[in-house]
Amino acid sequence: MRDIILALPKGRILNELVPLLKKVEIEPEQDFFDNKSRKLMFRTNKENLSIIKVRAFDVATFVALGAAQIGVAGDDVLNEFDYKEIYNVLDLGIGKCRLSVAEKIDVKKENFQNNGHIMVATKYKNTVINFFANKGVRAECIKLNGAIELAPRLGICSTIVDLVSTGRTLKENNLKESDVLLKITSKLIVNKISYKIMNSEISKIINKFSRIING
Amino acid sequence: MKSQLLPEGFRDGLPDLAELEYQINSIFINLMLSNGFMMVKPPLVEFESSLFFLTKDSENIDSFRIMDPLTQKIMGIRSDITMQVARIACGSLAENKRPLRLCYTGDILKVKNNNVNLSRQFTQIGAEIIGVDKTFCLSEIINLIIEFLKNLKIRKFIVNFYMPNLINLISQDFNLKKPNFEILMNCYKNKNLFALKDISNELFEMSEYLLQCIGNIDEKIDLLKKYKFPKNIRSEINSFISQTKKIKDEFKNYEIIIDPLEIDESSYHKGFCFKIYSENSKELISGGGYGVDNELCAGFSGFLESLILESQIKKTIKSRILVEYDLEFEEIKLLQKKRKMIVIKSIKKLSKQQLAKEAKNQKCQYYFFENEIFEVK
Repeated sequence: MRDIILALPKGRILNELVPLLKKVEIEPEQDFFDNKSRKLMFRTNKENLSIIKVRAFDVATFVALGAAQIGVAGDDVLNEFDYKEIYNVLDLGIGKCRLSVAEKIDVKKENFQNNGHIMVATKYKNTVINFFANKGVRAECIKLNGAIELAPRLGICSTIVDLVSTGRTLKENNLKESDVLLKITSKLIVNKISYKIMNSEISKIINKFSRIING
Repeated sequence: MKSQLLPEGFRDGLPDLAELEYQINSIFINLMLSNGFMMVKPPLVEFESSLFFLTKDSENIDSFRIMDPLTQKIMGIRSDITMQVARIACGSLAENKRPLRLCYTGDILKVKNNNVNLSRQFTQIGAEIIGVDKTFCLSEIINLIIEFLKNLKIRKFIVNFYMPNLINLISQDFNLKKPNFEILMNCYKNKNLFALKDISNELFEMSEYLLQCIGNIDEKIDLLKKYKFPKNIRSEINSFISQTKKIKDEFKNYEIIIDPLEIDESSYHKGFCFKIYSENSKELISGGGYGVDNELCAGFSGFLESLILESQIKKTIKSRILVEYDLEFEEIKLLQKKRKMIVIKSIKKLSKQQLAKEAKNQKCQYYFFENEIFEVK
Protein backbone atom coordinates (compact mmCIF):
# COMPACT_ATOMS: atom_id res chain seq x y z
CA MET A 1 0.00 0.00 0.00
CA ARG A 2 1.40 3.40 -1.00
CA ASP A 3 1.61 6.19 1.60
CA ILE A 4 -0.72 9.17 1.35
CA ILE A 5 0.07 12.69 2.54
CA LEU A 6 -2.79 15.10 3.23
CA ALA A 7 -1.77 18.80 2.98
CA LEU A 8 -3.79 21.15 5.19
CA PRO A 9 -3.64 24.94 5.39
CA LYS A 10 -2.52 26.61 8.61
CA GLY A 11 -4.71 29.27 10.20
CA ARG A 12 -8.42 30.04 10.09
CA ILE A 13 -9.49 27.16 7.84
CA LEU A 14 -7.77 24.61 10.04
CA ASN A 15 -10.16 25.39 12.91
CA GLU A 16 -13.09 24.58 10.63
CA LEU A 17 -11.35 21.47 9.31
CA VAL A 18 -10.65 19.81 12.64
CA PRO A 19 -14.29 18.77 13.33
CA LEU A 20 -14.54 17.55 9.73
CA LEU A 21 -11.43 15.39 10.14
CA LYS A 22 -12.98 13.88 13.25
CA LYS A 23 -16.17 13.04 11.34
CA VAL A 24 -14.21 11.24 8.60
CA GLU A 25 -12.30 9.37 11.32
CA ILE A 26 -8.90 10.89 10.63
CA GLU A 27 -7.26 11.50 13.99
CA PRO A 28 -3.93 13.33 13.87
CA GLU A 29 -1.32 12.83 16.60
CA GLN A 30 -1.49 15.20 19.60
CA ASP A 31 1.24 17.59 18.35
CA PHE A 32 -1.02 18.56 15.46
CA PHE A 33 -3.27 20.48 17.88
CA ASP A 34 -0.39 22.13 19.76
CA ASN A 35 0.10 25.63 18.30
CA LYS A 36 3.53 25.88 19.93
CA SER A 37 4.79 22.73 18.19
CA ARG A 38 7.23 23.39 15.33
CA LYS A 39 6.44 20.05 13.75
CA LEU A 40 5.13 20.26 10.17
CA MET A 41 4.37 16.60 9.50
CA PHE A 42 2.09 14.52 11.66
CA ARG A 43 1.11 10.87 11.91
CA THR A 44 -2.56 9.90 12.05
CA ASN A 45 -4.54 6.91 13.30
CA LYS A 46 -4.37 5.54 9.73
CA GLU A 47 -1.14 3.69 9.12
CA ASN A 48 -0.53 4.97 5.58
CA LEU A 49 -1.87 8.52 6.07
CA SER A 50 0.19 11.50 7.29
CA ILE A 51 -0.75 15.17 7.47
CA ILE A 52 1.39 18.20 6.66
CA LYS A 53 0.52 21.73 7.80
CA VAL A 54 1.59 24.37 5.27
CA ARG A 55 0.60 27.90 4.25
CA ALA A 56 -2.75 28.06 2.46
CA PHE A 57 -1.01 29.31 -0.69
CA ASP A 58 1.39 26.35 -0.68
CA VAL A 59 -1.15 23.53 -0.35
CA ALA A 60 -1.96 23.57 -4.06
CA THR A 61 1.74 23.57 -5.00
CA PHE A 62 2.52 20.59 -2.73
CA VAL A 63 -0.36 18.65 -4.28
CA ALA A 64 0.41 19.70 -7.87
CA LEU A 65 4.00 18.53 -7.43
CA GLY A 66 2.81 15.17 -6.07
CA ALA A 67 4.63 15.77 -2.78
CA ALA A 68 1.21 15.51 -1.12
CA GLN A 69 -1.52 13.41 -2.72
CA ILE A 70 -4.56 15.17 -1.20
CA GLY A 71 -5.06 18.67 0.15
CA VAL A 72 -7.53 21.34 1.16
CA ALA A 73 -7.33 24.66 -0.68
CA GLY A 74 -9.62 27.62 -1.27
CA ASP A 75 -10.94 28.72 -4.67
CA ASP A 76 -8.74 31.82 -4.38
CA VAL A 77 -5.57 29.70 -4.37
CA LEU A 78 -6.81 27.26 -7.02
CA ASN A 79 -7.83 30.10 -9.32
CA GLU A 80 -4.56 31.98 -8.83
CA PHE A 81 -2.32 29.02 -9.73
CA ASP A 82 -4.68 27.17 -12.09
CA TYR A 83 -2.58 24.00 -11.82
CA LYS A 84 -3.38 21.40 -14.48
CA GLU A 85 -2.02 18.68 -12.20
CA ILE A 86 -4.88 18.92 -9.69
CA TYR A 87 -8.43 17.56 -9.49
CA ASN A 88 -10.83 19.72 -7.51
CA VAL A 89 -12.97 16.81 -6.36
CA LEU A 90 -15.23 18.13 -3.60
CA ASP A 91 -16.61 21.36 -2.17
CA LEU A 92 -16.15 21.06 1.58
CA GLY A 93 -18.45 24.01 2.22
CA ILE A 94 -16.11 25.55 4.81
CA GLY A 95 -13.92 28.66 4.77
CA LYS A 96 -16.65 30.70 3.12
CA CYS A 97 -15.57 34.18 2.06
CA ARG A 98 -15.15 36.17 -1.15
CA LEU A 99 -12.35 37.73 -3.15
CA SER A 100 -13.38 41.33 -3.63
CA VAL A 101 -12.32 44.62 -5.13
CA ALA A 102 -12.30 47.43 -2.53
CA GLU A 103 -11.72 51.15 -2.88
CA LYS A 104 -11.36 54.18 -0.63
CA ILE A 105 -14.78 55.43 0.50
CA ASP A 106 -14.00 59.10 -0.03
CA VAL A 107 -12.42 58.75 -3.47
CA LYS A 108 -14.44 59.18 -6.66
CA LYS A 109 -14.78 55.85 -8.41
CA GLU A 110 -11.97 55.54 -10.91
CA ASN A 111 -13.46 55.33 -14.35
CA PHE A 112 -11.25 52.58 -15.58
CA GLN A 113 -13.62 51.78 -18.44
CA ASN A 114 -12.38 55.00 -20.06
CA ASN A 115 -8.98 54.94 -18.51
CA GLY A 116 -8.24 51.34 -19.53
CA HIS A 117 -5.73 51.06 -16.73
CA ILE A 118 -5.83 50.43 -12.98
CA MET A 119 -3.31 49.89 -10.20
CA VAL A 120 -4.22 47.25 -7.63
CA ALA A 121 -2.56 46.10 -4.42
CA THR A 122 -3.09 42.35 -4.00
CA LYS A 123 -1.45 39.00 -3.55
CA TYR A 124 -3.64 37.49 -6.30
CA LYS A 125 -1.82 38.88 -9.33
CA ASN A 126 -3.00 36.37 -11.98
CA THR A 127 -6.62 36.40 -10.83
CA VAL A 128 -6.73 40.20 -10.77
CA ILE A 129 -5.10 40.61 -14.20
CA ASN A 130 -7.59 38.15 -15.75
CA PHE A 131 -10.60 39.69 -14.00
CA PHE A 132 -9.85 43.23 -15.21
CA ALA A 133 -8.75 42.00 -18.66
CA ASN A 134 -12.26 40.58 -19.12
CA LYS A 135 -13.54 44.12 -18.50
CA GLY A 136 -11.07 45.49 -21.06
CA VAL A 137 -8.86 47.01 -18.38
CA ARG A 138 -5.12 46.51 -17.95
CA ALA A 139 -4.45 45.91 -14.25
CA GLU A 140 -1.00 46.52 -12.84
CA CYS A 141 -0.50 44.75 -9.55
CA ILE A 142 1.56 45.74 -6.54
CA LYS A 143 2.17 42.47 -4.77
CA LEU A 144 1.63 42.68 -1.02
CA ASN A 145 1.42 39.63 1.21
CA GLY A 146 -0.48 41.12 4.14
CA ALA A 147 -2.07 44.32 5.54
CA ILE A 148 -3.24 45.05 2.01
CA GLU A 149 -5.95 47.38 3.38
CA LEU A 150 -3.17 49.83 4.26
CA ALA A 151 -2.24 50.43 0.62
CA PRO A 152 -5.00 53.01 -0.17
CA ARG A 153 -4.64 54.78 3.18
CA LEU A 154 -0.89 55.24 2.64
CA GLY A 155 -1.31 56.39 -0.92
CA ILE A 156 0.17 53.33 -2.70
CA CYS A 157 -2.95 52.95 -4.85
CA SER A 158 -6.68 53.46 -4.46
CA THR A 159 -7.85 49.90 -5.24
CA ILE A 160 -7.14 46.60 -3.54
CA VAL A 161 -8.22 43.01 -4.14
CA ASP A 162 -8.29 40.76 -1.09
CA LEU A 163 -10.32 38.17 0.81
CA VAL A 164 -13.39 39.57 2.55
CA SER A 165 -15.32 37.67 5.14
CA THR A 166 -17.47 40.04 7.24
CA GLY A 167 -16.22 43.30 5.68
CA ARG A 168 -15.19 44.68 9.08
CA THR A 169 -11.51 45.15 8.20
CA LEU A 170 -12.47 47.10 5.08
CA LYS A 171 -14.82 49.35 7.04
CA GLU A 172 -12.27 50.05 9.75
CA ASN A 173 -9.78 51.10 7.09
CA ASN A 174 -12.16 53.44 5.29
CA LEU A 175 -12.67 51.11 2.31
CA LYS A 176 -15.81 49.94 0.51
CA GLU A 177 -16.35 46.70 -1.41
CA SER A 178 -17.10 47.52 -5.04
CA ASP A 179 -17.03 44.19 -6.87
CA VAL A 180 -16.72 40.46 -6.18
CA LEU A 181 -14.22 38.42 -8.20
CA LEU A 182 -14.90 35.04 -6.64
CA LYS A 183 -17.11 33.42 -4.05
CA ILE A 184 -14.83 31.11 -2.12
CA THR A 185 -15.15 27.86 -0.22
CA SER A 186 -12.48 25.28 0.58
CA LYS A 187 -12.14 22.37 -1.79
CA LEU A 188 -10.72 18.89 -1.43
CA ILE A 189 -8.03 18.59 -4.08
CA VAL A 190 -6.13 15.56 -5.36
CA ASN A 191 -3.00 15.12 -7.45
CA LYS A 192 -4.14 13.78 -10.84
CA ILE A 193 -1.61 10.99 -11.22
CA SER A 194 -1.92 9.89 -7.59
CA TYR A 195 -5.70 9.73 -8.04
CA LYS A 196 -5.20 7.19 -10.80
CA ILE A 197 -2.43 5.08 -9.37
CA MET A 198 -3.74 5.08 -5.77
CA ASN A 199 -7.39 5.19 -6.73
CA SER A 200 -8.82 2.73 -4.23
CA GLU A 201 -7.14 4.38 -1.22
CA ILE A 202 -7.82 7.97 -2.33
CA SER A 203 -11.42 7.28 -3.40
CA LYS A 204 -12.15 5.91 0.07
CA ILE A 205 -11.02 9.19 1.63
CA ILE A 206 -12.97 11.31 -0.89
CA ASN A 207 -16.10 9.20 -0.38
CA LYS A 208 -15.90 9.62 3.39
CA PHE A 209 -15.69 13.40 3.04
CA SER A 210 -18.45 13.34 0.42
CA ARG A 211 -20.82 11.37 2.67
CA ILE A 212 -20.32 13.87 5.49
CA ILE A 213 -20.73 16.93 3.24
CA ASN A 214 -23.51 15.73 0.93
CA GLY A 215 -25.23 13.30 3.26
CA MET B 1 34.02 37.09 -16.40
CA LYS B 2 30.84 37.99 -14.58
CA SER B 3 28.31 35.19 -14.96
CA GLN B 4 25.52 36.06 -17.43
CA LEU B 5 21.98 35.31 -16.31
CA LEU B 6 19.81 33.28 -18.67
CA PRO B 7 16.09 34.00 -19.09
CA GLU B 8 13.82 32.28 -16.56
CA GLY B 9 13.18 28.65 -17.50
CA PHE B 10 16.31 28.25 -19.64
CA ARG B 11 19.61 26.72 -18.59
CA ASP B 12 22.92 25.47 -19.92
CA GLY B 13 23.34 21.72 -20.19
CA LEU B 14 26.72 21.20 -18.54
CA PRO B 15 28.93 18.19 -19.40
CA ASP B 16 27.47 15.44 -17.16
CA LEU B 17 23.84 16.27 -17.91
CA ALA B 18 24.40 17.04 -21.61
CA GLU B 19 26.25 13.73 -22.10
CA LEU B 20 23.54 11.79 -20.29
CA GLU B 21 20.89 13.44 -22.48
CA TYR B 22 22.90 12.48 -25.57
CA GLN B 23 23.16 8.89 -24.28
CA ILE B 24 19.38 8.60 -23.72
CA ASN B 25 18.70 10.24 -27.08
CA SER B 26 20.96 7.67 -28.76
CA ILE B 27 19.25 4.77 -26.98
CA PHE B 28 15.90 6.03 -28.25
CA ILE B 29 16.97 6.69 -31.84
CA ASN B 30 18.85 3.37 -32.14
CA LEU B 31 15.83 1.49 -30.82
CA MET B 32 13.47 3.20 -33.26
CA LEU B 33 15.78 2.85 -36.28
CA SER B 34 16.25 -0.84 -35.57
CA ASN B 35 12.47 -1.23 -35.54
CA GLY B 36 11.97 0.24 -38.99
CA PHE B 37 11.29 3.87 -38.09
CA MET B 38 12.82 6.61 -40.24
CA MET B 39 14.17 9.70 -38.57
CA VAL B 40 12.91 13.18 -39.53
CA LYS B 41 14.09 16.60 -38.40
CA PRO B 42 11.52 19.37 -38.75
CA PRO B 43 12.59 23.00 -38.30
CA LEU B 44 12.41 24.87 -35.00
CA VAL B 45 10.29 27.64 -36.54
CA GLU B 46 7.36 27.56 -38.97
CA PHE B 47 4.59 29.87 -40.09
CA GLU B 48 1.69 29.70 -37.64
CA SER B 49 -0.65 28.34 -40.30
CA SER B 50 1.44 25.22 -40.87
CA LEU B 51 2.77 24.74 -37.34
CA PHE B 52 -0.69 24.59 -35.78
CA PHE B 53 -2.57 23.04 -38.71
CA LEU B 54 -4.02 20.21 -36.58
CA THR B 55 -5.22 22.49 -33.81
CA LYS B 56 -8.51 24.36 -33.84
CA ASP B 57 -7.64 26.74 -31.01
CA SER B 58 -4.19 27.83 -32.22
CA GLU B 59 -4.34 31.23 -30.48
CA ASN B 60 -4.12 29.53 -27.11
CA ILE B 61 -1.12 27.34 -27.91
CA ASP B 62 1.69 28.03 -25.51
CA SER B 63 4.25 28.93 -28.21
CA PHE B 64 6.65 31.80 -28.74
CA ARG B 65 5.70 33.85 -31.80
CA ILE B 66 8.09 35.92 -33.89
CA MET B 67 7.65 37.86 -37.11
CA ASP B 68 9.48 36.82 -40.26
CA PRO B 69 11.05 40.09 -41.50
CA LEU B 70 11.08 38.71 -45.07
CA THR B 71 7.41 37.86 -45.47
CA GLN B 72 6.04 39.92 -42.55
CA LYS B 73 4.13 36.79 -41.52
CA ILE B 74 3.92 35.53 -37.95
CA MET B 75 5.94 32.42 -37.22
CA GLY B 76 5.68 30.11 -34.23
CA ILE B 77 8.52 28.37 -32.43
CA ARG B 78 7.37 24.79 -31.99
CA SER B 79 6.01 23.65 -28.64
CA ASP B 80 5.24 20.13 -29.92
CA ILE B 81 6.95 18.21 -32.72
CA THR B 82 4.06 15.74 -33.26
CA MET B 83 2.14 18.15 -35.47
CA GLN B 84 5.22 18.90 -37.58
CA VAL B 85 5.76 15.18 -38.19
CA ALA B 86 2.11 14.81 -39.20
CA ARG B 87 2.58 17.71 -41.63
CA ILE B 88 5.65 16.02 -43.18
CA ALA B 89 3.78 12.70 -43.43
CA CYS B 90 0.92 14.17 -45.42
CA GLY B 91 3.15 16.62 -47.32
CA SER B 92 6.67 15.69 -48.41
CA LEU B 93 6.19 12.00 -47.58
CA ALA B 94 2.60 11.74 -48.82
CA GLU B 95 3.64 9.37 -51.62
CA ASN B 96 5.53 6.97 -49.31
CA LYS B 97 3.91 3.61 -48.73
CA ARG B 98 1.83 3.22 -45.57
CA PRO B 99 2.20 2.47 -42.73
CA LEU B 100 4.89 5.10 -42.53
CA ARG B 101 7.00 4.92 -39.40
CA LEU B 102 8.74 8.15 -38.36
CA CYS B 103 10.70 9.12 -35.27
CA TYR B 104 12.20 12.39 -34.07
CA THR B 105 14.04 14.17 -31.34
CA GLY B 106 14.45 17.91 -30.90
CA ASP B 107 14.08 20.91 -28.66
CA ILE B 108 10.77 22.68 -28.08
CA LEU B 109 9.99 25.94 -26.27
CA LYS B 110 7.02 26.90 -24.14
CA VAL B 111 6.14 30.46 -23.15
CA LYS B 112 4.74 29.72 -19.73
CA ASN B 113 6.28 28.02 -16.75
CA ASN B 114 5.01 27.69 -13.19
CA ASN B 115 5.93 26.24 -9.81
CA VAL B 116 5.44 22.74 -11.13
CA ASN B 117 7.17 23.07 -14.50
CA LEU B 118 10.04 25.48 -14.06
CA SER B 119 11.63 24.95 -17.48
CA ARG B 120 10.55 26.56 -20.72
CA GLN B 121 12.85 24.48 -22.93
CA PHE B 122 12.47 20.72 -23.31
CA THR B 123 13.86 17.99 -25.54
CA GLN B 124 10.99 16.04 -27.02
CA ILE B 125 11.45 12.52 -28.33
CA GLY B 126 8.75 10.62 -30.12
CA ALA B 127 7.56 8.34 -32.88
CA GLU B 128 4.52 8.24 -35.13
CA ILE B 129 3.00 5.50 -37.29
CA ILE B 130 1.00 7.06 -40.10
CA GLY B 131 -1.67 5.10 -41.97
CA VAL B 132 -2.60 2.51 -39.39
CA ASP B 133 -5.73 0.39 -39.11
CA LYS B 134 -8.32 0.76 -36.38
CA THR B 135 -6.25 -1.08 -33.80
CA PHE B 136 -3.83 1.88 -33.87
CA CYS B 137 -0.82 -0.48 -33.62
CA LEU B 138 -1.22 -0.04 -29.89
CA SER B 139 0.61 -3.23 -29.05
CA GLU B 140 3.63 -2.33 -31.22
CA ILE B 141 3.82 1.12 -29.65
CA ILE B 142 3.48 -0.11 -26.06
CA ASN B 143 6.10 -2.77 -26.76
CA LEU B 144 8.58 -0.17 -28.04
CA ILE B 145 7.97 2.12 -25.08
CA ILE B 146 8.44 -0.71 -22.58
CA GLU B 147 11.68 -1.68 -24.31
CA PHE B 148 12.84 1.95 -24.22
CA LEU B 149 11.98 2.39 -20.53
CA LYS B 150 13.75 -0.88 -19.72
CA ASN B 151 16.83 0.37 -21.53
CA LEU B 152 16.67 3.49 -19.36
CA LYS B 153 16.51 1.22 -16.30
CA ILE B 154 13.10 2.57 -15.32
CA ARG B 155 11.76 -0.67 -13.93
CA LYS B 156 8.47 0.34 -12.37
CA PHE B 157 5.91 2.27 -14.37
CA ILE B 158 2.16 2.39 -14.75
CA VAL B 159 0.23 2.56 -18.05
CA ASN B 160 -3.03 4.52 -18.05
CA PHE B 161 -5.52 4.07 -20.94
CA TYR B 162 -8.36 6.43 -21.72
CA MET B 163 -10.87 7.37 -24.44
CA PRO B 164 -10.60 11.05 -25.45
CA ASN B 165 -13.64 10.79 -27.69
CA LEU B 166 -16.01 9.50 -25.01
CA ILE B 167 -16.98 12.96 -23.75
CA ASN B 168 -18.07 13.98 -27.27
CA LEU B 169 -20.21 10.84 -27.64
CA ILE B 170 -21.80 11.46 -24.24
CA SER B 171 -22.46 15.08 -25.17
CA GLN B 172 -24.08 14.01 -28.46
CA ASP B 173 -26.17 11.36 -26.78
CA PHE B 174 -27.50 13.77 -24.16
CA ASN B 175 -27.83 16.51 -26.77
CA LEU B 176 -25.76 18.98 -24.74
CA LYS B 177 -25.36 22.52 -26.07
CA LYS B 178 -22.35 24.73 -25.36
CA PRO B 179 -22.96 25.87 -21.72
CA ASN B 180 -23.90 22.38 -20.57
CA PHE B 181 -21.04 20.81 -22.53
CA GLU B 182 -18.67 23.15 -20.71
CA ILE B 183 -20.14 22.08 -17.37
CA LEU B 184 -19.69 18.44 -18.37
CA MET B 185 -16.10 19.12 -19.44
CA ASN B 186 -15.35 20.91 -16.18
CA CYS B 187 -16.93 18.13 -14.13
CA TYR B 188 -14.89 15.45 -15.90
CA LYS B 189 -11.73 17.55 -15.73
CA ASN B 190 -12.07 17.76 -11.94
CA LYS B 191 -13.67 14.37 -11.30
CA ASN B 192 -16.30 16.34 -9.40
CA LEU B 193 -19.68 15.45 -10.85
CA PHE B 194 -22.23 17.16 -8.60
CA ALA B 195 -23.00 19.96 -11.07
CA LEU B 196 -24.26 17.32 -13.55
CA LYS B 197 -27.33 16.74 -11.38
CA ASP B 198 -28.63 20.09 -12.63
CA ILE B 199 -28.36 18.93 -16.26
CA SER B 200 -29.71 15.40 -16.07
CA ASN B 201 -29.96 12.76 -13.37
CA GLU B 202 -29.32 10.06 -15.94
CA LEU B 203 -26.12 11.80 -17.05
CA PHE B 204 -25.02 12.19 -13.42
CA GLU B 205 -25.64 8.51 -12.66
CA MET B 206 -23.82 7.31 -15.75
CA SER B 207 -20.87 9.61 -15.05
CA GLU B 208 -20.79 8.48 -11.42
CA TYR B 209 -20.63 4.91 -12.66
CA LEU B 210 -17.77 5.75 -15.03
CA LEU B 211 -15.97 7.42 -12.11
CA GLN B 212 -16.17 4.12 -10.22
CA CYS B 213 -14.47 2.44 -13.20
CA ILE B 214 -11.20 4.34 -12.73
CA GLY B 215 -8.37 2.18 -11.47
CA ASN B 216 -6.58 -1.10 -12.03
CA ILE B 217 -7.74 -2.81 -15.20
CA ASP B 218 -8.14 -6.22 -13.51
CA GLU B 219 -10.62 -4.83 -11.01
CA LYS B 220 -12.43 -2.32 -13.20
CA ILE B 221 -12.82 -3.78 -16.68
CA ASP B 222 -15.72 -6.03 -15.61
CA LEU B 223 -17.48 -3.02 -14.08
CA LEU B 224 -17.34 -1.27 -17.47
CA LYS B 225 -19.10 -4.26 -19.06
CA LYS B 226 -22.06 -4.24 -16.67
CA TYR B 227 -23.68 -0.81 -17.06
CA LYS B 228 -26.42 -0.24 -19.63
CA PHE B 229 -24.81 2.59 -21.61
CA PRO B 230 -26.55 4.21 -24.62
CA LYS B 231 -25.71 2.43 -27.90
CA ASN B 232 -22.92 4.70 -29.27
CA ILE B 233 -21.24 4.99 -25.92
CA ARG B 234 -21.47 1.24 -25.39
CA SER B 235 -19.86 0.62 -28.77
CA GLU B 236 -16.91 2.95 -27.95
CA ILE B 237 -16.53 1.35 -24.53
CA ASN B 238 -16.66 -2.19 -25.97
CA SER B 239 -13.93 -1.30 -28.41
CA PHE B 240 -11.90 0.16 -25.51
CA ILE B 241 -12.45 -2.98 -23.44
CA SER B 242 -11.29 -5.31 -26.21
CA GLN B 243 -8.18 -3.18 -26.98
CA THR B 244 -7.10 -2.76 -23.39
CA LYS B 245 -7.78 -6.40 -22.57
CA LYS B 246 -5.58 -7.45 -25.47
CA ILE B 247 -2.83 -5.21 -24.13
CA LYS B 248 -3.30 -6.56 -20.60
CA ASP B 249 -3.01 -10.16 -21.86
CA GLU B 250 0.15 -9.30 -23.75
CA PHE B 251 1.79 -7.28 -20.98
CA LYS B 252 0.77 -9.30 -17.92
CA ASN B 253 3.59 -8.10 -15.69
CA TYR B 254 2.83 -4.41 -15.98
CA GLU B 255 0.44 -2.34 -13.93
CA ILE B 256 -2.30 -1.07 -16.23
CA ILE B 257 -5.02 1.34 -15.15
CA ILE B 258 -8.02 2.74 -17.00
CA ASP B 259 -9.68 6.13 -16.69
CA PRO B 260 -12.84 6.50 -18.81
CA LEU B 261 -13.31 10.11 -17.65
CA GLU B 262 -9.85 11.43 -18.55
CA ILE B 263 -9.97 14.62 -20.62
CA ASP B 264 -7.27 14.96 -23.24
CA GLU B 265 -5.47 18.30 -23.27
CA SER B 266 -4.43 18.03 -26.93
CA SER B 267 -7.32 18.72 -29.25
CA TYR B 268 -6.25 16.30 -32.01
CA HIS B 269 -6.34 12.93 -30.24
CA LYS B 270 -8.94 10.35 -31.26
CA GLY B 271 -9.53 6.68 -30.52
CA PHE B 272 -7.54 5.46 -27.56
CA CYS B 273 -4.81 7.26 -25.72
CA PHE B 274 -2.41 6.41 -22.98
CA LYS B 275 -0.10 8.01 -20.48
CA ILE B 276 2.75 6.28 -18.74
CA TYR B 277 3.61 7.32 -15.20
CA SER B 278 6.57 6.55 -13.02
CA GLU B 279 6.13 5.14 -9.55
CA ASN B 280 6.88 8.66 -8.25
CA SER B 281 3.72 10.00 -9.93
CA LYS B 282 5.54 11.70 -12.82
CA GLU B 283 4.38 11.53 -16.42
CA LEU B 284 7.00 9.85 -18.62
CA ILE B 285 5.38 9.25 -22.00
CA SER B 286 2.01 10.00 -23.54
CA GLY B 287 0.47 9.01 -26.82
CA GLY B 288 -2.44 7.61 -28.74
CA GLY B 289 -4.35 7.84 -31.97
CA TYR B 290 -5.18 10.85 -34.14
CA GLY B 291 -6.24 11.56 -37.70
CA VAL B 292 -4.54 13.57 -40.46
CA ASP B 293 -6.00 13.98 -43.96
CA ASN B 294 -8.30 10.95 -43.56
CA GLU B 295 -5.41 8.82 -42.39
CA LEU B 296 -5.35 7.21 -38.98
CA CYS B 297 -2.12 7.71 -37.10
CA ALA B 298 -0.73 6.67 -33.74
CA GLY B 299 2.28 7.80 -31.83
CA PHE B 300 3.88 8.72 -28.57
CA SER B 301 6.25 11.29 -27.17
CA GLY B 302 8.00 12.24 -23.97
CA PHE B 303 10.49 14.71 -22.61
CA LEU B 304 14.11 13.80 -21.96
CA GLU B 305 14.15 15.96 -18.83
CA SER B 306 11.43 13.84 -17.11
CA LEU B 307 12.96 10.60 -18.33
CA ILE B 308 16.41 11.50 -16.98
CA LEU B 309 14.96 12.21 -13.53
CA GLU B 310 13.42 8.73 -13.33
CA SER B 311 16.16 6.83 -15.15
CA GLN B 312 18.72 4.84 -13.19
CA ILE B 313 21.09 4.97 -16.15
CA LYS B 314 24.51 6.42 -15.40
CA LYS B 315 26.85 8.27 -17.71
CA THR B 316 29.12 5.74 -19.43
CA ILE B 317 32.47 6.02 -17.75
CA LYS B 318 35.52 5.39 -19.92
CA SER B 319 39.14 5.70 -18.85
CA ARG B 320 40.87 8.88 -19.97
CA ILE B 321 44.44 8.88 -21.21
CA LEU B 322 46.71 11.84 -21.96
CA VAL B 323 49.05 11.29 -24.93
CA GLU B 324 52.01 13.22 -26.33
CA TYR B 325 51.25 16.14 -28.62
CA ASP B 326 52.73 14.46 -31.72
CA LEU B 327 51.33 10.94 -31.31
CA GLU B 328 50.28 9.42 -34.64
CA PHE B 329 46.54 9.38 -35.39
CA GLU B 330 46.70 5.58 -36.01
CA GLU B 331 48.02 5.07 -32.46
CA ILE B 332 45.21 7.25 -31.07
CA LYS B 333 42.63 5.19 -32.96
CA LEU B 334 44.07 2.01 -31.47
CA LEU B 335 43.71 3.37 -27.94
CA GLN B 336 40.15 4.46 -28.66
CA LYS B 337 39.04 1.26 -30.37
CA LYS B 338 40.96 -1.53 -28.69
CA ARG B 339 41.32 -0.13 -25.22
CA LYS B 340 38.01 1.83 -25.31
CA MET B 341 39.74 4.89 -23.90
CA ILE B 342 39.03 8.60 -24.20
CA VAL B 343 42.22 10.06 -25.69
CA ILE B 344 43.32 13.62 -24.94
CA LYS B 345 46.32 15.17 -26.65
CA SER B 346 48.74 17.40 -24.75
CA ILE B 347 49.12 20.76 -26.46
CA LYS B 348 52.91 20.89 -26.39
CA LYS B 349 55.97 18.71 -25.96
CA LEU B 350 56.18 17.58 -22.33
CA SER B 351 58.64 15.51 -20.33
CA LYS B 352 57.37 12.29 -18.71
CA GLN B 353 57.06 14.05 -15.37
CA GLN B 354 55.22 17.02 -16.89
CA LEU B 355 52.93 14.66 -18.81
CA ALA B 356 52.04 12.82 -15.57
CA LYS B 357 51.25 16.14 -13.87
CA GLU B 358 49.15 17.36 -16.82
CA ALA B 359 47.27 14.03 -16.96
CA LYS B 360 46.23 14.60 -13.35
CA ASN B 361 45.03 18.14 -14.24
CA GLN B 362 42.99 16.75 -17.15
CA LYS B 363 41.38 14.14 -14.84
CA CYS B 364 43.05 11.29 -16.75
CA GLN B 365 43.67 7.91 -15.16
CA TYR B 366 46.56 7.14 -17.55
CA TYR B 367 49.22 8.82 -19.68
CA PHE B 368 51.05 7.54 -22.73
CA PHE B 369 54.75 8.20 -23.03
CA GLU B 370 57.15 6.68 -25.56
CA ASN B 371 54.75 3.89 -26.55
CA GLU B 372 54.01 2.87 -23.01
CA ILE B 373 50.91 3.37 -20.83
CA PHE B 374 51.45 4.62 -17.28
CA GLU B 375 48.92 4.90 -14.51
CA VAL B 376 48.47 8.35 -12.94
CA LYS B 377 49.43 8.12 -9.25
